[in-house]
Amino acid sequence: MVRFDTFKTIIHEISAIVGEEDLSIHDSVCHTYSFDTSLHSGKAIGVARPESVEEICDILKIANKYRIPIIPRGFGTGNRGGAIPYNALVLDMLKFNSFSIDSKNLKLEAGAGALFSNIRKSLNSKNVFLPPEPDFDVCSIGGFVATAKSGRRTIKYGNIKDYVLGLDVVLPNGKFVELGSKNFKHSGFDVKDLFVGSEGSLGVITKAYFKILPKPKDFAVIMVNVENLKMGVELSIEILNEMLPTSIDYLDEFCSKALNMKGKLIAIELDSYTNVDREVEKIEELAKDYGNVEVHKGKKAEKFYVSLKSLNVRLKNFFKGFPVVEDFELPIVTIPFVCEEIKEVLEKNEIKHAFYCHLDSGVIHPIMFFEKESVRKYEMLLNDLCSIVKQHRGYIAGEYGIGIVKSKFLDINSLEIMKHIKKLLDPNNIMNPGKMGL
Amino acid sequence: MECVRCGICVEGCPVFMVTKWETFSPRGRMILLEKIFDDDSFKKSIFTCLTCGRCSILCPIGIEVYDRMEKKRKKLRKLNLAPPRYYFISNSIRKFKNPFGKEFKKPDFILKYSPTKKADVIYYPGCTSVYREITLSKSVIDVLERLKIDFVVEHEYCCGSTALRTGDDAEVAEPNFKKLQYVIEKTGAKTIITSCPGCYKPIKSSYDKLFGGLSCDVMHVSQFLVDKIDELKLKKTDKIVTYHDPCHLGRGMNVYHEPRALINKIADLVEMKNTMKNSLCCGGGGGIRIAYKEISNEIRRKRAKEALKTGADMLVTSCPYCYLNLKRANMIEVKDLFQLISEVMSETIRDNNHIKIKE
Repeated sequence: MVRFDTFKTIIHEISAIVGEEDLSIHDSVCHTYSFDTSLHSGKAIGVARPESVEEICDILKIANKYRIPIIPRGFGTGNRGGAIPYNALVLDMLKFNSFSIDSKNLKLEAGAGALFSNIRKSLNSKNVFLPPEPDFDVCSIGGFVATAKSGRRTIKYGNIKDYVLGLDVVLPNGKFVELGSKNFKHSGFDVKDLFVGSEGSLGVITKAYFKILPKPKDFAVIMVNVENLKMGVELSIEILNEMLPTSIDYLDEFCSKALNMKGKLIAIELDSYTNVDREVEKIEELAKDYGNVEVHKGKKAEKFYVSLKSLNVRLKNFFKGFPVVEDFELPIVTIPFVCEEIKEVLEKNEIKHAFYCHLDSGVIHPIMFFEKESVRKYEMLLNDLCSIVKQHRGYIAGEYGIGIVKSKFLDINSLEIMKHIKKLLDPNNIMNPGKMGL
Repeated sequence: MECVRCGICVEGCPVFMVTKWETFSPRGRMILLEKIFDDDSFKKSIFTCLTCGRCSILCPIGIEVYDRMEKKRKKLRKLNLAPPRYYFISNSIRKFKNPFGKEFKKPDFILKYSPTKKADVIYYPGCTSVYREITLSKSVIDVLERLKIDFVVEHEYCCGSTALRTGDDAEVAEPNFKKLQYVIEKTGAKTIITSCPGCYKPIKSSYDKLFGGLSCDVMHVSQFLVDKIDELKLKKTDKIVTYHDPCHLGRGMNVYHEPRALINKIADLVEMKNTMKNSLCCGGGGGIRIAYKEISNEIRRKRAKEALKTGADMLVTSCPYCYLNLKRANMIEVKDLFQLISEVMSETIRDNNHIKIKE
């Protein structure tokens, strides 16, 4: 903690950079910036809203001088506590919200504070797309890249790291660097990759450059009612033996009810630059022994994936409490019995829950409901769940990042290397300290 | 239902659109709901909610943030933490029966229709149309006269809307409720109509919850006129207009189609980018003009810009407050729907400065 008079000097100096209008130390403002969508909360000491790279450079120099922790924040929709400040100054990046789409060269440039859902709409209108999409797309581009988030479509199209061509970053010492070639190919040591998934611990991402793809011309979703998750996994393996769908998701009875459907469901997404008819036919043939099959195209299919984005919020219609979603990655064949083991633990602890899984990439999302003040209960439960996942050679954080929630489960050898890199770039540990075990 | 901070509402809030502070967004307000802080931003957060309800449409679980804000405002008022102007308005409604802070003499054209006889319909114009923009209530009366409706005009007390929206007690609206009930019984009227959505929402829905409701139908004038659309004999003009949905009429009371049906008889209607349930507030809602005029002005400029972008000749709305507010932006010609109907019916708008009727 800094002394009060030093704090006043710091605030005075930062205010001189961003202007009084864009710095607040009001308790109410600090409080509203002390959350994300996890159960955790922190305490901001102030919120600054820089509008230029130069302003960020100057702020970081001051932060180094006085050893003030800095948390870059996008839209505050992460769920691992990555953007929660603990006696830190929040850098609200929302003024970096411009983006431009170059559909001829298949490239996209976006400021860190640009909202992904807005970008998606614009890409769509220009007949191009950025395939990786987080499960929840109300997020900033900066947050998306910094947490290396992913959701559906990973098996076919890869994750966001595969689409980042370059990053503009202000390093912790206040130096601005442009990383990556901004072109499709790059030889040598690609430093930008280090910043994808760095969760604000190595510097402030101000802008990201992406490759984009032409939008597929045809699109369909096939819904199959299955008796249980095991059958869903079997069907999924059968499908993956024959073709590469865009995504295969499993929704348990609660998830499907939240989306106004019934029973346990497998949703298979297909897209193509010609048409998906042959794949649809093949899947219908494979799925007919598993349960009722429905094929949706056009608006109805799109609507399903739009409502899927707010699944955990919609589940609140059936469960009391605050939804906490995990993102365990597992070998696909192990999913049914790992889910059973997890279910047992949750039931033993009387935690209401639902399951949503990506059966193509092997990510399971137990969606659990906790009372708001039960962080400790959740953390204890998470120990049990993570050890189950590790036993089955799974990974504890497939999609949402590490933040404070998953840091203690990181592999010790990786963590040591991470610490060396962190020390090299941020010797005073001003950037998002305490996250990812750093 | 508790907020899970998913943030879907944030970008949809007009106040966030112009301030870009989390604190002045629906999610920020929900975070502050259980708290009290002694700083200006806290008050500003709670008292800049437009109560427009746009966030509730976006919320996947339909949390009515505006309702929570009204309750929170009530608490803050009791702690003397509301901006001073809010107390001024409440006091004015109690003392002068209107929110404008002084006594007014009731205009003659209103007195002429005093509820002293039996009638089928009671017209309640609302304070803005009686004391500020009298053309608006005159237009409604003109249309009712032309339709030969058996009506009286009742306007003694303010409906209490501004005070209720900014967290005042139910008692502020009680005199109007009692007076309306008295007039209903005295005139034997079956219907109350009002041209102000700000009055329509409390009279139709809040009075039900607060006092048990009135013993007759309550309608917005647009609903009342749609039932008589053929009798109106409206003529199509060569104008292109865009329609601004007043928040309390559209999202608040689900009245979207009636005003449009009437406009379609008169002019070609082009919609703004944000329309119907996604419509943007004019910036005048929730009492924010009273204490946070700059934010309110920026929002109305945003809305007027949307209207300009449609290429329409004029913006039509059906709320005296939206009308007054958007007119003062001085960016596009603004008319109230009933003013437009009255002008078309009376054919006083043949000259080139106004609307040309298609031959």
